[in-house]
Amino acid sequence: MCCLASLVSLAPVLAWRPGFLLLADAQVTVARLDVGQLWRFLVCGYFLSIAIETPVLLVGLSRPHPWRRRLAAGFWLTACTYPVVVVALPILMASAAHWQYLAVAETFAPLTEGALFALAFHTPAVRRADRVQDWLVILLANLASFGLGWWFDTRGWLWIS
Amino acid sequence: MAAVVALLAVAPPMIRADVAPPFFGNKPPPLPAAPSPTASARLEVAQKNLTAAAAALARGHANLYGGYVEKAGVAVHQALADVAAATAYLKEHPGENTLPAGPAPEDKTKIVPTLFPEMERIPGINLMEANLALNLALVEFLNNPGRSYHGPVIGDLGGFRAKIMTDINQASAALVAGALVAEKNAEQPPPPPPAGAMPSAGPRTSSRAPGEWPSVLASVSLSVGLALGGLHFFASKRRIDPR
Repeated sequence: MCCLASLVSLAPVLAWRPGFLLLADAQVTVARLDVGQLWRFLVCGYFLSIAIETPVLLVGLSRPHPWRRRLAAGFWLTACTYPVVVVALPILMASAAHWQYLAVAETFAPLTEGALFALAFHTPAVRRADRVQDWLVILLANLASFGLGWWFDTRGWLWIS
Repeated sequence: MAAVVALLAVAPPMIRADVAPPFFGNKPPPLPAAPSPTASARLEVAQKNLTAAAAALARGHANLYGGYVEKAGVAVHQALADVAAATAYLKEHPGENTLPAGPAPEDKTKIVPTLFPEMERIPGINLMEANLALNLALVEFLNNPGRSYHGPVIGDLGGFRAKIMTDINQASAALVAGALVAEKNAEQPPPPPPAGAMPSAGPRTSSRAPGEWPSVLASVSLSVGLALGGLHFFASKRRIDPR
């Protein structure tokens, strides 16, 4: 059974939970990941992730962006970064410390999402103040999902079995 | 773990009815059947479990446990030899094959052997499996040591009963010692790579599970594809509606 949830930012919290990593044997210090679980987690975690981030984007993105665009951004931005954060980074950083993984994932996700949003929607007509607001809101959305995810995790509401 | 080992070193094997059986995987271990009414039948069950323990040990990564898996294997094979000798003894003394009734039980709770209460801490599924099989073998030779255990009393078996139990305990002790070695190995940092070695020759690369690299490529491709597709889609929308 899959987990309750995750989000782009929450994924680092979960990817290192006990039981999520499978130690191959005692001499190999690098944890061996269950790749199938990562993919399963990707599917179910994505939906909770957008459930948390999309409302933040809907409310916070600057005025020039219509509601349909804000909604689309909620689905699209997370979809673009989530596979890397949930599948690629845990594998590539299997031997790294947890905080290192968190730092990379938490930097990668908002930066990439902000850049994608800017490339897609920041036309010359968008004012500088609105652009800054968009960047900040995307960062806030990621922080919100990370914080909520951390809280869920501490309460034992998130798991993969 | 150290506490468990210390406990095992001083405590005799226990029969406890109030402890859930430790299990591995998704399936709980089978509960032991009711004690057999003949000594030969109980020897047969013990032989089956000892054979299972030997097979599990043979599948283990023996080199990870400081040679203790081999020691456990030697003890298990000695136990098997003693079981065979006890079986031969019973053939020569058929009068000892029928077991006398033991004392009446205080309750009828199912027995649960827990030689290692924290068996799940033993690293390696094969060691855990071997440990369980040893427990199940040992229980065939115990005579009502706990309040809930009851059944016919197995005899001395020509002196082989004590030998077999000693063999099983030696095997169990070796398993615990091996588990400690493995735990200690796991805590030590990996040895530095030899001078001039290519980074790709290190243990990290060799420890990659099958499917990891394809998964990395697939997930990155998925992300890039979604990003480019989205950019293209929104750009085309903007051409239609420049707002």
